[in-house]
Amino acid sequence: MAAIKLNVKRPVSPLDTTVNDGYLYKDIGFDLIPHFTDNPQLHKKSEKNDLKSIYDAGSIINSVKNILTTSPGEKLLNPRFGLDLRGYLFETISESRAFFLGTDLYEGLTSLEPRIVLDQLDVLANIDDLQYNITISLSIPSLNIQGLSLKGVLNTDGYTFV
Amino acid sequence: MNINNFTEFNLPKDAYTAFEAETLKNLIIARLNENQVFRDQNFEGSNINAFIDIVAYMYHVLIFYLNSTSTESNFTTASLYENINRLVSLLGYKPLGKQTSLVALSLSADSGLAQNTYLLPRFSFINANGIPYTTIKDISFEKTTTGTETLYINNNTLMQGNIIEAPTYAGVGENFETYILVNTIGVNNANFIADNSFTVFVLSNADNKWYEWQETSSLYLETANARKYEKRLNENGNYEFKFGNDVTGKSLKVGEQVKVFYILSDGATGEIGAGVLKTQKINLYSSASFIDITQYIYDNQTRLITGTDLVHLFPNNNSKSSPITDAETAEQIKQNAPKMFTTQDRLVTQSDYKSFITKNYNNIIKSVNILSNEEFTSKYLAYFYKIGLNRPNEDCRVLFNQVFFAPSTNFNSVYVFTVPKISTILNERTPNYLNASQKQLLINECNLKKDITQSIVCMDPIYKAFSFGLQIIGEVESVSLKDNTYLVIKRDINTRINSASLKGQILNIFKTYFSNIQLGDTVNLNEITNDILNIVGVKRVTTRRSDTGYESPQINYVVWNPLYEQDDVTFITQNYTLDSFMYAYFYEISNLTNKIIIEDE
Repeated sequence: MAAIKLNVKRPVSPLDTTVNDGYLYKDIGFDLIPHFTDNPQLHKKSEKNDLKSIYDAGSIINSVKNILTTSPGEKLLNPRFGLDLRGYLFETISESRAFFLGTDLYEGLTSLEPRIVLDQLDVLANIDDLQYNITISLSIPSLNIQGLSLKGVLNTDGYTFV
Repeated sequence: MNINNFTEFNLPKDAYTAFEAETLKNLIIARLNENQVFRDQNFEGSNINAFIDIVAYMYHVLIFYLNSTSTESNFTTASLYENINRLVSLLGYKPLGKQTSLVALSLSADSGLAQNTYLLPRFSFINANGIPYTTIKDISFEKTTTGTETLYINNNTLMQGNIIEAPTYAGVGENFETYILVNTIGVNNANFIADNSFTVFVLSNADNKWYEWQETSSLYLETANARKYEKRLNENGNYEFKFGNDVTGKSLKVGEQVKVFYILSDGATGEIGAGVLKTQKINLYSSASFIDITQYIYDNQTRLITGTDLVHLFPNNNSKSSPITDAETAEQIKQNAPKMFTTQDRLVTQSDYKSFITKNYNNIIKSVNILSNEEFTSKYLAYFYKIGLNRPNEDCRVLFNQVFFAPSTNFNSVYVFTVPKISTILNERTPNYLNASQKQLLINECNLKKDITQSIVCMDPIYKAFSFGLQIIGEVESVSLKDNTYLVIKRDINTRINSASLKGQILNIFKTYFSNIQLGDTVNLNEITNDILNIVGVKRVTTRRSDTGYESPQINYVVWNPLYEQDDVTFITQNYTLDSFMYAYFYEISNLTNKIIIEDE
């Protein structure tokens, strides 16, 4: 039996660290920026450097954004990940399409991001500007956060957050 | 770094071989879950999950290449031509390149050519309506009468294509010096360098004379002064010519010039039908460098054919040219290389002979089988007894070969049965055989490698002609029944396929099948029937006698020996197994479409 050893400390218990660290969810920042602290050269202390991370609500909102801006097939090992919002760009803007878009958003977000609960989902067909105005109101029960709101626009430029 | 500080993964030693992207992703996530540095790896929408996807996928691709590379370095699993080609070079195997069309030359001379022995120099060619056919060996013959005479020539093989002189190469004096003839012809070009068409001359520093160097299977078998070279088609499609080191084969000296002549084939467009050479004239090859070489390779006693003699020579080809042959594929190399390796350049067993002849004479021999003396008497001679000959040795072909090639004793004879590649069947009716000079050439080459106690005798196979033939109960078995027998195709009335197209497809099925027959094969008539039934629009097939109207609900064949058609004739409907010295062909195959009746139902 071969042994592959990695230079990583094994934690005592996930729950302990969660409590100790003060966060529940942790993800790496999208831009992979190194995280550093203000540590003067004189009497410099040894410290652990790592990528800049995002925590809790930040990481969940980032996940929702990833879902909204990813089309199925784009994620390497999960081709069903993402929402096919581009399909709506080739249809005329209408109230009925807004309804179906809302249905897709609801089903997609609740299945792909189990940490959130959707409180309200408004999809407004803006026929004059050839776009849908989307407002997503959500809660994160595990973090006891309510009333988060994400506003976005779906038009020929794709899905953009406002 | 002290690895004792590392935490352990309990994985089997060869676990990496089972990793693919999905597994690795799961492992990474499991590992991250254990140490809790990150938490969002479990959620598909997180950045770290996407990052894990990329890492796992990259690993997957790298493992794929690792596996491919490992596989391609192993003879049994390699599949790419370049790799197989290099791997078999370790066994000393030389893959075959493309082969050009060949045609059998017959030559006659009129009274204008005086009685004498002549030599038609190599590289002489015939231009048949823009299609050149060239001899790469000298052709010698004797004019024995003063009148018009059909000449007995020692070499009758013409290769399709023009003679090309490769740029002169100057030796650098290295041991085992290798000259590479770079193949600049694109793979999509119909033209190609014909394998087995090379002639190599070297201008010696010692006496400033040109010498012809001969090809050898391995330089390690040669003496220090042997003017021999090894030729090999390498993995890049170039031909390598390797010279010796003055220990095994003579080496090239500094500045010695090497001149390589080869045939550049026109590809499939160079194939010609029977009789095309009849109205043409032979031309002598007369490049400055070859004329220079000529004065050293022929002695003064040789009476060379001159330009004025050529008008008295009349070439012809009684049969069509052979088709071009593709280079050995990776799969074929994998099959043939071990066989050649087991022979160890010696001819001892039947398979040794078969592999050697198949490999080295594939330009003139289509099929070969080897019989021991015991098999010869118990099978081949027994066949003649069986069909009613009291003295099999007096069969014309047996007698001819015995007189020409057999020694006084037979117990140690090795009988080589060969089917010629060109003109296998004359006029699609009459069997043809290797000529005496080709057989002698084959025996001479085999003699260099055979067991000292063996004696090689070239024999001619028994040909079996096939045609449609339906015998009604009570009728005498006769080949003539084929004349009134027809293949009836019941075509679906709703199909759109026309009769001519249907007949053409059926003709192709027969042509393809019989062109691939080898000595001793089982003629799989069921396969032919199935292929016909698989044509869209064919409902069923029957055989019908036109004189009686009698019909059989299957395909009936008559099989006979065209030399003894009264004594050896059989009517069959099932597969037919040939003896190891028998070869099958379809009688008048081009006329087959006239033997097919199409009926709608």
